[in-house]
Amino acid sequence: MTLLLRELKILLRSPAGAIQSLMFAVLVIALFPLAITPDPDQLAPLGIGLIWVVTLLACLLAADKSLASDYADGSLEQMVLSDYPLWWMCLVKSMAHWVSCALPLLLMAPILGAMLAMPLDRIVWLMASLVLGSPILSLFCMLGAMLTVGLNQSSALLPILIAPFLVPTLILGTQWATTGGEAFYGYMLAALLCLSVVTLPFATAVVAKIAVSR
Amino acid sequence: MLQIESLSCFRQDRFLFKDLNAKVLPGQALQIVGENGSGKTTLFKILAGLFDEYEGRVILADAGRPLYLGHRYAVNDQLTPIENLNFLLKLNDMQQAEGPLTAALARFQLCSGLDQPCAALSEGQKKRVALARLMLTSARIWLLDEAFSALDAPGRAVLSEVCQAHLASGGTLIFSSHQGIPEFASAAQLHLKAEL
Amino acid sequence: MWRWFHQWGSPKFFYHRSGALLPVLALASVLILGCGVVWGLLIAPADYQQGESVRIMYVHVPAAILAQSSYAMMAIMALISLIWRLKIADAAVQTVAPIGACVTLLALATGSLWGKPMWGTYWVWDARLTSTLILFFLFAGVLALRNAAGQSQSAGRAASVLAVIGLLNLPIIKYSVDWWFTLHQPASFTLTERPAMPFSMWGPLLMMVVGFYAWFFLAWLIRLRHELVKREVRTDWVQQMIKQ
Repeated sequence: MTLLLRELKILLRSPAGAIQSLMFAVLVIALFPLAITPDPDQLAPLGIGLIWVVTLLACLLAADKSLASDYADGSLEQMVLSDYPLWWMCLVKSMAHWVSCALPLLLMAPILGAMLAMPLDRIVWLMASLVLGSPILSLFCMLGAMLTVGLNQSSALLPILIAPFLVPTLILGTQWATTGGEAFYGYMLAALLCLSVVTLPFATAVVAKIAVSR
Repeated sequence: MLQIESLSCFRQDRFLFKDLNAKVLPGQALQIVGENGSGKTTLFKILAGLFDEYEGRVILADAGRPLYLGHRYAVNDQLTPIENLNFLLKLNDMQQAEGPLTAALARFQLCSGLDQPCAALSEGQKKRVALARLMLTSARIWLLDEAFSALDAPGRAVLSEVCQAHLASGGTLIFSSHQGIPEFASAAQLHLKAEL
Repeated sequence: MWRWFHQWGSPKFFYHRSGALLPVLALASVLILGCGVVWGLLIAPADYQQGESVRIMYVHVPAAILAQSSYAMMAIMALISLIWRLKIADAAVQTVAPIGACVTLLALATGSLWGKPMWGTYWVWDARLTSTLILFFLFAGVLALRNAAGQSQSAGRAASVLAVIGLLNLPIIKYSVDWWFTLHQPASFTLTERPAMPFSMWGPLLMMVVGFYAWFFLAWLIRLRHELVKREVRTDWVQQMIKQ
């Protein structure tokens, strides 16, 4: 619990990252009508997919920030050395990433949906699918961040690594929202969420030990 | 008690060190001596358990987990000194109430500005926040990599006293320092030579 | 028996023993691929629906099969290198990744070329092609991570973890792409409905598949031996070999 509080305190005191993700999302969503058409009949069916993709991109872009600062100041080493289970700390970091990146977008979803002329019931299903699906995105993003932490590479490496793994979540999430809550996709998404929560923190912990030995 | 047997490490196409042997008993200090790039940091990481691609053996007999303080000393800029200390101690299950934390920081001459984020502190002050952990830890083996650097003379004096108190109570200390520390001039030394 | 496996883990043993395999594999791949190419591309009958363009199948299908199984092989090698810390397994992962990526590209290219006469466009988002595209990105990810992280052992381990996670996710990705496709399947799509293939068609196909595998293992073995020598250049047996 202390770890979660620590992450949240750090987030609250420098909310620039969360605000940037939000601004990025709004900007990209605004670009689509400009690039394609402002016609609401053409935008509305695309809305769920567009907002999901924007959420995915925002999560990928914000993924390595908190971990990079922990690696740079040595906190990651101390976390690996501690008596606390490392998988729990990775899970906490994923939760913090979700709070800083996916949660604002989730709360913004009604506005983004309105920008794309989506009807209210579709927006509701979109938000439901994001509630189930965005934690999976955060878990994978944290794995990607741990794989690339400390490498002096371009910021495009993490998206390249992790994007394929996000495809099932993207497909299931958008299908669930588009079909107005067909149970099959909901169950699959929930199953994927459970599977990810149970396995990815352990994988991230393994990678953390590799990361600190660089 | 810490013992190194025939420790060799091959990293990035060269041997950092070969066949190192050392034994540090409770109450003793060992200084790792070597130039930049001679593998000191890697050796510390091996002793701390962060790096495991080596040959030979490292034995830490009935001493629990060592405390490792490296070049980067884990002080987060967004948190206050008290919060940083609290977190670092909690990582090793040694939580304390605020009173002892303040006392530890005071020992290292940090008395004011304790409720400001550490971004407002200077490099030397941040180092002291990290070092304050030494007052409150129960680890018996201390691995201090360049702990004396970035401190002014009074700071180094306090650190020496704290280390000597640790040794007097039966702990072991392994440290490296570019500057000579007069109190530890007679400590055993382990020389690492960079292989060209 | 375990000891027999253990022996192969030593680079020196592997290098010397695998040398004997090289000519066998080279001969096999040239012969089988040669026969397969002649049989499939020249002798086998043209499909009554698709005409001559069905012959692309003789390259596309083996490439697609090989692409998937080479990723599996890479991930298994990665798992071995993680669990047993075998350097040779790590070298195996490093050397097979580019081969697998190229084979996947070949599958994508031939799949796209096959699409033109069949469906009228060079790219169509069907389940198989999309899965192959994602497979390519998985390969690219492992390659990119290896490239970025350098040559150290920790870089190898990170890439191996990525490969293993990729393998575990591969079924999930394939299933979800299948579901996605069946939902959006355009009505005119009929590739999946084919009558059983006569021997004159699956004969050369099988031969091409075997030939592709033979070539794949040949290429991998050559690269692996080369990589082993590069990595062990400081050891005695390599120095002796150089002096000879």
